[in-house]
Amino acid sequence: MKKEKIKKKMGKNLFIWIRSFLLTLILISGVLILLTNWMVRSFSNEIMNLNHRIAANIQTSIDIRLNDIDNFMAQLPLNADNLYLSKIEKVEEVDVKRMIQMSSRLNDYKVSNTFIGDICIYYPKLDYIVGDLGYFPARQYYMLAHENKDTEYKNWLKTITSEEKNGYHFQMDADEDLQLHYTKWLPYDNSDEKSAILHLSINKEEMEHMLKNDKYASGHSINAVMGQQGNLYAFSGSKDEKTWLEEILQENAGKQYIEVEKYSGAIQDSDFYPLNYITLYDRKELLKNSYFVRNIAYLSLGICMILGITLFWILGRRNNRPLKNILEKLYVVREDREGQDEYALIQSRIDTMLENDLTSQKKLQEQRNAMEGMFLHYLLSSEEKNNSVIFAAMQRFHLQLEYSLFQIMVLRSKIGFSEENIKDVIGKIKRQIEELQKELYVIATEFKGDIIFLFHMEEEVQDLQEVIAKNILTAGKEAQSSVQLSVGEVYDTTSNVILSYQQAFMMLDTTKNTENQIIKFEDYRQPAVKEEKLESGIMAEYEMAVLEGNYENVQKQIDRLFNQYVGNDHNIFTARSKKYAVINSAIEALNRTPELENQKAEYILALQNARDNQTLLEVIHEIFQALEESQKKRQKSRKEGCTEWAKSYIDQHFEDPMIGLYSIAEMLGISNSYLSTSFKKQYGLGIVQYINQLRIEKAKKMILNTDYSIKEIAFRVGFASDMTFIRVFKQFENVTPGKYKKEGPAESEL
Amino acid sequence: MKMKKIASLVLAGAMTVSMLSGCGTQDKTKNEEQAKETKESAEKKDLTLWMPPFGTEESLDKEVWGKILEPFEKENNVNVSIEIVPWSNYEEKYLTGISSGQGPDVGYMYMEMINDYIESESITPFDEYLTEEEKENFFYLDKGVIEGKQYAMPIVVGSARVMFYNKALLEEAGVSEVPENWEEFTQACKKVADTGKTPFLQQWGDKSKGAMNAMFFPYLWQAGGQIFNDEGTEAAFNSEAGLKAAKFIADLKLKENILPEEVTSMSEDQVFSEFKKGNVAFVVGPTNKGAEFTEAGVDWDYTTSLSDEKMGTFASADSLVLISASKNKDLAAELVKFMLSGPSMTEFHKMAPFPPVAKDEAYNDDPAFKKVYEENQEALNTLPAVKGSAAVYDNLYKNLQLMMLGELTPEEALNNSAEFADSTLAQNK
Repeated sequence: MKKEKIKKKMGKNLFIWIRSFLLTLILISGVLILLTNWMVRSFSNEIMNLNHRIAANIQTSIDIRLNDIDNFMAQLPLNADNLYLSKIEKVEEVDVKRMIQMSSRLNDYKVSNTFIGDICIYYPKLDYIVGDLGYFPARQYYMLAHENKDTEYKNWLKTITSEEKNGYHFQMDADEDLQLHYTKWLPYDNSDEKSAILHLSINKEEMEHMLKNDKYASGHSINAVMGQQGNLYAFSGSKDEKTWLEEILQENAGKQYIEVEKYSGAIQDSDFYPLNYITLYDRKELLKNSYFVRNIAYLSLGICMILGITLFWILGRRNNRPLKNILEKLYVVREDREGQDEYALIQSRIDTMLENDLTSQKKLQEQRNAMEGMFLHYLLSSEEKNNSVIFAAMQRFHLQLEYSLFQIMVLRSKIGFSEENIKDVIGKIKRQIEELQKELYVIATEFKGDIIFLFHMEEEVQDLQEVIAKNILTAGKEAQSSVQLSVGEVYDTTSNVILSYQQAFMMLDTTKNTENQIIKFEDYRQPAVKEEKLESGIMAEYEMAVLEGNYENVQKQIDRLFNQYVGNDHNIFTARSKKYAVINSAIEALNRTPELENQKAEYILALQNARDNQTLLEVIHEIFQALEESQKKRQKSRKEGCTEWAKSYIDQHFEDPMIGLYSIAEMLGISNSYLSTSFKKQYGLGIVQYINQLRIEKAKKMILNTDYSIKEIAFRVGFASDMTFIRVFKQFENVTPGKYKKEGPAESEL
Repeated sequence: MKMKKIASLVLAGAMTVSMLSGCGTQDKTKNEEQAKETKESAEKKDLTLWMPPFGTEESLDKEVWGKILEPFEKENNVNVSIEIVPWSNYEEKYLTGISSGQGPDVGYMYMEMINDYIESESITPFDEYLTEEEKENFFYLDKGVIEGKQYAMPIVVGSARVMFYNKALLEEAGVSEVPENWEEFTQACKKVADTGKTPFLQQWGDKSKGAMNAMFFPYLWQAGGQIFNDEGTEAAFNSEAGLKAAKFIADLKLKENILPEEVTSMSEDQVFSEFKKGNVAFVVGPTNKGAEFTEAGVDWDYTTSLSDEKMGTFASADSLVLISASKNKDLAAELVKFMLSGPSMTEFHKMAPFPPVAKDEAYNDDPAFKKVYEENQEALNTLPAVKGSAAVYDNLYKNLQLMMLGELTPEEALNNSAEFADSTLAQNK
């Protein structure tokens, strides 16, 4: 709930932005903290090790010195002067030289080991002390060693003669300062008669000097030596730190590693002596570098973040501007700005736009359908049979009919179709045809109360036509209960469209009881022709076939002609004139065929010499045989080059708006369907497609390189209208020419 | 689109660069540091100088010398580490340091120390490092010549132990004449004692045997005695004159009560501190203390020495020495010459007023003492350079301390010590 509130308050996109920002921030900080923690931790371990090493180092150097003292002590009992002095009972008997030697020996030793503060041997029997200060009666020696005072003399004597204090021991001095002493009874055997007691005090200053001068410390560590009772003996810090350190050591008694305040430290036991060595290292000082690195990392992260945010902000503002403009405009349209989410607003606007686009496309399609319908209407009403005129009309109606075959179907309802019905049926069929995705196109219109479908296709597919016809019938039936569908024949020129229509129309008029049925013209044609041929029409048909150059047909008809037309006529005059009509037609055909010029005289002679009908028939057969062969030869040679010719013609003249399948077929004197199929076979695409391709290529160049308007370009590359141009361009390039001009060619084209 | 791409590239680039530069610069500085270190270790030399304290605090000495030597360090690319060695354990420090190889390159020694080091060849003569011209410049070079070689370069010459007196206290006690001999001195002291003030103080509790330069040797010399025989093979302090001197001192405390009981525990500092407070009429001390007394507001004057048979007191001839173990003897010799040069000495004498040692420095000491060095030169004695003498002084000092404590008679003290001395010096025969 709360979240929703916040979201609402700051706006969805800002909320998302801040949320992502915070998440990223947390993630990066988390990683950074982990990393630095790891770093600091490993450094801390390193410090521990270092502490341990330093402590060990100090331990070694102090232990060595103390050990050195031990070694000297071990030799001392055997020293000749010492043995001598130990045995003497009375001072008067002492040879002073021995004392001098002993004293200088101890002095030498003191000089050689700076750890020794004072060193002396007490000879109880003589009550004399020989030491680094010289040789004096014990009390006098004590005074010389203790600022000329003997107040503590007795205690001191008690201490050094006490057996408990044998070895290293700590003792408070007059200044309440802990001092380390070493006392040893000489000789070292267990004899009761202890003849000498060695005493030395450790030079605490020297030890502290050593602790202070630890080369690793460089002012950032505290080193200390502690007695095993936990008393701090010597240490490198100031007096103020002493109490502090003592408290810490008491708190951490028995531990090997200490972590206190800014220090981490180690405690190391002496191997031989009742001492502990302590080092405390200032972690911060040691980790200075790593803290520096960490701070740099934080700093760079901070800078990067600030930079990033700034950049984000700037970019966001920049990129927002067009969006903002749009939003502003949207807000102008819609007043309910308050509480309206920008994204939802844009989304709804886009939806509306898409809807509009769809509607406009639909409208465009309807317009196109209407134009096509108008064209068909015109074609049927004008009964135009001239190809050129029809082509011009096509141009006028912005139509491009690229396939070669045409067929008309007529749907009729006795009651008549309402406008709604017509629209529904045409729309339905058009959709069905589109869905088939075949090389098939349909134009439909209402004509004289019927619905006329002009099917335009690349090749005849009987089954498909069957299906379509059924579909039309079904669609018709859905619209009106009683309908008839009549199908005309397939033709390959536009000029024959009207013929196909007339066939279909005639079928509807002539046939009966064909409710809800498909009536095909071809089903009724054959018998009708046969009947006619048995009668007089056969001669006309022959003449027509000869005129058309359809010699194959002629040959079939000749036999019938002689049997039924010429041979059956028993009137000799009419029979002869009939015979001559047949012969004349043949001779005319020979005259039209220059290839047979040489044989012509021969054939005429043969005709003249033909006495009976049988011979004449044979000669005529021979003539038409020859004619057919030469015609085939001629056609073959012409057809062979026609596609190449067509292509080169197109290459040169594609900018001519009147160029098309029909005009070229006409020029070549071959059929539309033949040209269309053979062109497609050879070049893999239809003629119209090829023409369009050339036009679009040229148009593209012009779009990019010239300042011509789209309309101008359309005309310049041979389109009859800019509408057609735009439609075809989009079909080829998936964009409109205007968009193409703005955005330039797609990347794949570069 | 393009702008976005560029922007994101820029951002990514910036991040990478900042990261790289982070590492890069660090590596670089690291390398540079290493290079610098190696360079330094290759070129920058180290010299160690041990000096005794002259200032009121050790730190002051270190500071003064540090400042003086700064130009030398820069010019020669050398790092001079200065260590101020306290007077207590002074000789031991040198002995230990030099014998263990941990000693300095240049040290400061007093005459009686030097002999032992010459013997062990631990110090090197300066002859080869000095030009004739340089030699001309110094006043007291001859005092550093031992066995015909310039083993020592005198740096503090003078510092004569004179007898200071508080004029006000003497006036108060009615002492109009400055005492000239022991008898007059004893009388004057008694007069002062009558006023309830301390007439005289000595530092018998001082740890440094150098205290004898003010407390015993002057009287030995005044009585006509000397420390060792001329050959340096036997003690001479136990002579009649020596005994007279020892008795005179001992009597001042034990018989006449002129020296108070506490003198056996007093250090030199404590003694001078009492004088500065105006509590003492007489003290014996080095001339350079005069400035401190003036500063403390004491109306003081001095007499070079009392006189018995003759006048006599101690004057030091402390010198800089070149330690043989030094790895940079040439540079160490240069350091010595630099320290003794006019400008350096001028600075040094501002802290420790001593008479100049060379011609290129003006007289900076209190002009009051000019008389000592000009008129009473004959009264000034240095300690003889006798091998093993240091140990003897030690022993003598301890015995005299016991004498002052009343533990030993003057005879016992001197004889005990002589016994030790004879035994020790026998090797010099």
